[in-house]
Amino acid sequence: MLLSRVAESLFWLGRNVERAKKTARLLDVTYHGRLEPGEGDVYGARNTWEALVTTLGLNVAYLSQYDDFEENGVIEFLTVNRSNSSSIVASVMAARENAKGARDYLSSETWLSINRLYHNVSRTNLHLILADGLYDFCDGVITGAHLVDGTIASTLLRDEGWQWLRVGMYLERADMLTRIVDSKYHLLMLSLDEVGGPIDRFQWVALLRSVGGWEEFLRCHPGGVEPAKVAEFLMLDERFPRSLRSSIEDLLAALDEATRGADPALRNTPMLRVTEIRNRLRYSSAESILASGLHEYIFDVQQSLSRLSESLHERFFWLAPRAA
Amino acid sequence: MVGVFSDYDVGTNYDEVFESPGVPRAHYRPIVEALQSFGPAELADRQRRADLAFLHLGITFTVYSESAGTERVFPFDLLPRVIDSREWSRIDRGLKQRVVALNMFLQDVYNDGKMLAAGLIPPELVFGSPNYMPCMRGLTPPGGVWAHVSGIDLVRDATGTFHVLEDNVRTPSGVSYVMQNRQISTRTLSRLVATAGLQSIEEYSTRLQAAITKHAGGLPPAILTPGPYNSAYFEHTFLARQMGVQLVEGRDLTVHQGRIAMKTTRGLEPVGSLYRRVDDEFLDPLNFQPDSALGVPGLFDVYRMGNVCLVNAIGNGVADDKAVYPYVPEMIRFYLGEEPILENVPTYHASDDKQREYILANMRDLVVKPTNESGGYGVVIGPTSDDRLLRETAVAVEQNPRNFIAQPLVRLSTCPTVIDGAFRPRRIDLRPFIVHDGVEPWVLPGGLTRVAMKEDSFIVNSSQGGGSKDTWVLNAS
Repeated sequence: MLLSRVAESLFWLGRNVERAKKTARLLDVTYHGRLEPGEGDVYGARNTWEALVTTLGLNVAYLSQYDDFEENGVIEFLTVNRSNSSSIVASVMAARENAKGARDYLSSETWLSINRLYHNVSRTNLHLILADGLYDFCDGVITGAHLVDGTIASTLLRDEGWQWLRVGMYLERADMLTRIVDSKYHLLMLSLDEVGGPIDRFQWVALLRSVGGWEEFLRCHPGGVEPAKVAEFLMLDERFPRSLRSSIEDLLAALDEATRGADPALRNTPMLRVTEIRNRLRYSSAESILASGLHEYIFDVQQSLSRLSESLHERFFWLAPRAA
Repeated sequence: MVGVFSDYDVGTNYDEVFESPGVPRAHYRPIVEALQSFGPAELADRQRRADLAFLHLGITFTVYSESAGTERVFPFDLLPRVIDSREWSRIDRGLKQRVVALNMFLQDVYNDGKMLAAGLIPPELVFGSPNYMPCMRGLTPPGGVWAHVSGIDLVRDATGTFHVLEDNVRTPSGVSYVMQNRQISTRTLSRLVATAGLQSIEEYSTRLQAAITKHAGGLPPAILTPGPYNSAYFEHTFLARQMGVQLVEGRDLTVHQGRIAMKTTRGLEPVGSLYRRVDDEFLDPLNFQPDSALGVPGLFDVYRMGNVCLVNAIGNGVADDKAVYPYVPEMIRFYLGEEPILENVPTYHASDDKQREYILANMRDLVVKPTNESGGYGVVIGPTSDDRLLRETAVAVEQNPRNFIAQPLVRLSTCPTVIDGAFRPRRIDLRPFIVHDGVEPWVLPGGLTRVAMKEDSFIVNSSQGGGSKDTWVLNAS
């Protein structure tokens, strides 16, 4: 038997750790991308920093605190700004609170790794981050988050609570991937003729890097970058663990385990939602997705994921859905 | 006397270990001999190892600070406090007698009022107590048990006699430290523990589990905690793990079909009993404190119907009110027809005119205590207080006599305690724990020995910088 509060804490622990990791990766890629020559063109009028904040869906929140999309402002907003609930420090603090609520459930190694990540992140400020270089900070967050994943994978009892933690992690991973792909969808919609310059090539590399998949892409497609291939790799390739398809397959498996034996009235709706997304991914081709509109496709997936999260809160956590 | 005890000064206090300088009491002899052979370096090393073990086990209590609670280690002293079997068996009988009488008193003041009718306790003391809960009138809790878990604080005076200093029949804490202290001394003093012939304390969790389950109507019990920010949260998680029961917060529970149920991922699961570590007034925002987020709306209605057992019952505070304390010996005589085995400390209550006059005239020699505080808060020790504090206290006593009692200062017994690598006398008390299932009370052998870590201090509470010692009760030889 698992208390709903503990299940929910573990679900959000999974989401928050994944979110901190993803934000750090995006920030790192954006920051170092802007050092390359010829930046900006592909985004049209918008600058890279604005594009990043838009990708994360934080435009309104950002502009309520800052005047314009200036580099240091965005970096501060996404790293150490505690009033931004999606900043790295806020995600890590939230993860620690989640872990506290499930403290007697977690292994001491897992608690220790979360605590360590928290102490590293919470003690810094913008000045220190820029002095050491943003890379060091982002790398520290990503490595620390991997350590949390590692202790979870190797020390946690593999029971229902562990499955809820994984449900949260894969849901966040899928959601983040759709955001990243959507922010660059205009790039993926370009025809082959329009691609080829150094700037375009760089944008592809940055996109793949922001999900940690550039080298993996090359191993699968040694022929080089091509919009349909990139779309297929990010959306549909089962071999790449961060592709949308992999995240959704993992999500379905974890949700199936987490809700096994539950009353069908509780279990059916969430399972049906994930299975529908999974089936669409399994039986789609990159060409068909691009032809029917990538943005619309992604919008549908995001809507389904958000309804899924709602139905989990209603049915299993006994609570009104919390803002993601 | 050589080694680590060589300059140990017994003074004029009753010392637990030494009858006179250099002469240990019989039941301490093996320990003194073993520790004497250590020398200062090894003593310090063993103490350090004990401290480290506590830190690694994460045995901490929460200290509240600005944004986040910080966790502090509860100081542990190496040298155990030892009680021989004859002395303990008297304490054991005295505690059982007292707990049975306190339970009968609670049943009586919420129902027939026989002791009041007999004129043996002033009604205004009982009904005027802020902890008297009128909502409990006419109620008998499941199984008729009010105080399933009690902690009765004992002190030994300068003549070596044990007295009851206060009763705790609401939510006494500290038992997890008793269990952990034993685990640490088993590691640091293994040979002594193995040969001393100690009464086991392992039974506590089984006894507690049985007592909280007995009147649960066949449904599972749970521990209700205020949550991770409570100072005793460690103890709550510890007991939940030891008994294998769910640790729940108020928001995990709801009232469903006239019962208390836990919200789980498979639906609502009923519970039959709550070992609640939440105070009465926070238990139910519908019936008590409306802004409490710690409780369960409607809990009291379920309780009133007899559909959930609360451990301890609601309204127990009237029995451990310090203004009611002087009447406990009378309770024992009235309900049990027995003479009290354990004595009270002489107590003056300021609401009585003559006694108030005495208190005000002799404040410099007395300890003045608020009747409804715990944790050592608000206690004024006459002999060590300055004139200003005494004057302020006198004003407070005159303004609100119901809220104050006074007692002569009990010169608590001392016990050698490691301070900077050497043994020094430090004052101690004892909190034994009693578990009552309604049939037969059971006393945990020993209890929590608390130590005032500062020289000449009388304050042993952990919230005021006190430490603790393992308490050994020896088997009959």
